[in-house]
Amino acid sequence: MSTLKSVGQRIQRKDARAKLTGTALYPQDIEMENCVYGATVRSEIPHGYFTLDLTEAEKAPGVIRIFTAADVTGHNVHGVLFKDHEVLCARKVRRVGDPIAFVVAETQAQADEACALVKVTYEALPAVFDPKEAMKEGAPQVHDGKNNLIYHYKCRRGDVAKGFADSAVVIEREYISPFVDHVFLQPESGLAYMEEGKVIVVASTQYPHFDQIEVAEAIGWELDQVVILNPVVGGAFGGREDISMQIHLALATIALGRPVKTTMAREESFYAHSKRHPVFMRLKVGAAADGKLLALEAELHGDTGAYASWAINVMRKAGVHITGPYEIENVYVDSYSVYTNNPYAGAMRGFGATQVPVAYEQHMDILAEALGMTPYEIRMKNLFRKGSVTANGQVLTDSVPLETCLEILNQAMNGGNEAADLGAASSGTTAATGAGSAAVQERAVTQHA
Amino acid sequence: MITLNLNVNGKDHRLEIEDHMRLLDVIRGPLGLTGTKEGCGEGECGACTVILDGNAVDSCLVLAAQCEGKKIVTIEGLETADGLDPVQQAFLDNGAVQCGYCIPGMVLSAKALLDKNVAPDDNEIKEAISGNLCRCTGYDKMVKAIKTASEVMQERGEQK
Amino acid sequence: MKVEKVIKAFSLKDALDALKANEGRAELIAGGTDLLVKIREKHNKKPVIIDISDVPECRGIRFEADYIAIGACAKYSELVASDRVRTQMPGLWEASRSVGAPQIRNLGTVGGNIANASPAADAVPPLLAMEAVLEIVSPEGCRTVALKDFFKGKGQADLSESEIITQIVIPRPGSAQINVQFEKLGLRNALAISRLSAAAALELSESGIIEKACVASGSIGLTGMREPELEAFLEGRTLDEATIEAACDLFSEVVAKRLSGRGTMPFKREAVRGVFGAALRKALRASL
Repeated sequence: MSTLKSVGQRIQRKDARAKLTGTALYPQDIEMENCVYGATVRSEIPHGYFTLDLTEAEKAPGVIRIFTAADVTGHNVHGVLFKDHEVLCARKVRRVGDPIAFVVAETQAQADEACALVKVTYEALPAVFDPKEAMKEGAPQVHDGKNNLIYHYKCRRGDVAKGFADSAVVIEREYISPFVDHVFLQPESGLAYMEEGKVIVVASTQYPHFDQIEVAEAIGWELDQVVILNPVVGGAFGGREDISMQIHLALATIALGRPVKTTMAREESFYAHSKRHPVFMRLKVGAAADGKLLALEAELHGDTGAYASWAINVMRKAGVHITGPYEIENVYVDSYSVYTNNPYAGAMRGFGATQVPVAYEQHMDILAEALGMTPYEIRMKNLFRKGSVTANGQVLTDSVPLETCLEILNQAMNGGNEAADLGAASSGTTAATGAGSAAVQERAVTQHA
Repeated sequence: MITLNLNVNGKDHRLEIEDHMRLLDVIRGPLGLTGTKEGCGEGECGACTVILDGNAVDSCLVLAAQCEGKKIVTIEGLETADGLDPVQQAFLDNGAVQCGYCIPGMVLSAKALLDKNVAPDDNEIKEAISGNLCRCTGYDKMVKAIKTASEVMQERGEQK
Repeated sequence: MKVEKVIKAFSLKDALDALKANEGRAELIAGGTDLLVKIREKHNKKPVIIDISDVPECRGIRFEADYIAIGACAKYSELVASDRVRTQMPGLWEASRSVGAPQIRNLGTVGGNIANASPAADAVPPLLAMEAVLEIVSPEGCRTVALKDFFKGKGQADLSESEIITQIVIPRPGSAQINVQFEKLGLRNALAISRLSAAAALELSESGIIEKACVASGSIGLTGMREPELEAFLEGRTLDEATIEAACDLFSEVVAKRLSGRGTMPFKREAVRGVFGAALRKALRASL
């Protein structure tokens, strides 16, 4: 093969030099003349109605204007799939951290201080924090008039009752994968200003095109009158897919005619953005005496918190991946996305496929133990190969190198002795680890929904 | 208000600042050096690391007024007319930069180490950057880069 | 509370004058690793801050014939860099090394840690085990207080608003090395607050019998403290595996009783075995 220009070559990342010399500009590094500064008032309770008293805050030094839901000039909504977020909550908050008001002042310190002077009077409502509870009749309704259950993925294949009946061993367990935060190192920050009649929003984002649509609809302007500039992004991992301050900034700069900037401190960043979906998993798998998996039944509850964000795609992916990379003829999967009053969950690397290995991989080891097999043996018996058909009907026609990967790992860790306990050997070689992750990536690509 | 005399990146400054300002605020504000970042404000992430009188410190934990007469080096102070600092060059060549937000602090922690100990072993390198969190890279290439910089500096005969 | 004024002291006299001139309105800063976090959370109590980090009378580490004196404003990084601290007070050296991360150690001071009376302060258990005494100065005069009598409760120290800890003095038992050992359990290797720590300073006879034992703990209770039950148990026994096992059992009982009813008790009563056992095994190895 001839030498390729980029593949296989050492390429210097084109923006690395600027980052290494401190010249790369994240939004917090940008200063503009005549700029004013914003701070967001956020809910302190998980569920309830509220009223605002702005009198003291409005009189605070340096305060120019305080924006509330009434000041949203277009539609007071945003959301990547369902438009269920409010730009600024109008009368109800659904989670701790919901944005209620945007205070703009001459300096950041003045905006922060005035924020604390905004009086919020809450009328707390019963709240729900567990997705299974939230699905029950009579559970508090997170979004008025809407069922807390917003998505139900089903996979039905074969006859699980017969599969379990034929199994030598049936294992049923519950697993929980918790909330995780992205903690991208750069806290959220942005600016907006007017230029030749257009509103320009500068913010670190994963979706400048989505942002443009969301901003335009929320302010009620034409798409070509809104410009999104994405400077350097200080990490994201899915946490910058939802609107953060883009709409607040746009509203404020249009109303005030001056550039507006806002930067979150780390604590606010935790409150503001999405989390990885916690998933509650019940998994029941039956296997024959020789280790062949005969039936899998799974019930997955994804807690999407107060807003949907990517809940549908995440729990669909979880529902598809819960079988693991294993051939199983009889499958019965229900995967649910449910509103609660918890922090809202959205995109985070893995996106539904990250949570479920907690269940299926532990399950394989438990099954192996029950059958008197090694973790290696039971996996070799069942894993996908070229020609395998997945539970939801995809035929794997291209390369499926998982078997090769596992063989290399077993060789490296156990000297090819499959009777040895794979778990006991804790020193893997770099070569084995590299081969492992390459095969996993490849499988993920062929399974891409 | 306080009059503060600071030497930053080799240059003397005399500034009028408010008493409550942190060193980080003075660096990013009146001095306009935005290379130093705020990641947490509590000394947990190291993004605000600068070199103060030869030692790596979290500038979010230092009141500017404490720095009267002291020498500070920020990320902007590394590149010279001769080019990038060996640590910067090594990070560039070893693919150790992703989102970049941890980089100024990380590079300065590495520089503070190499300026005192030009031939650190792996453990010493890892300890030197143990106060700098990175959410992107997994640290491996950074350790490799620091080793590379160490080799380059030894070759050049840069000893303290 | 907003910080209105920062006064940088360049001598002990500067600091004491500033304290007197701002009576009731001032607090001290050295490394600032705790105070800056308090300021950020708006929990700091005084509008005036006096910086004593560069006061020479509070700096330095002195090795004298009958005692070792650590300046209250000596930074943790200075202790770590000192070969003599490492060889003569290994437990204090290890504790210093375990504080935060390099950037924290380049700022944080032993005196500041003690003055804040945090139950998790890493240097406290080894200093307690070495029977350290604090020298305290105020505009009114000076006094000394044993470290073991200094902590009144969580975050509460026997230190008035006008007082400055200047030195931490460790009496030597006459030998070159104090067999003081330390072990800490944190959630990770760096930037980790101690969940549990233990220190032991042992004086052994030629035949390996423990003639004197000073044991101290951190994060088991409201303050760092001496553990007299463990000391009484160890004194007179031979330092060997059997004694170590038995001592760990005893410590587990002590923790179970002290933290009875608290959520952390089941974990800490087990964890203390590993932590204390490790410290004692280091002491055994050092004695051989």
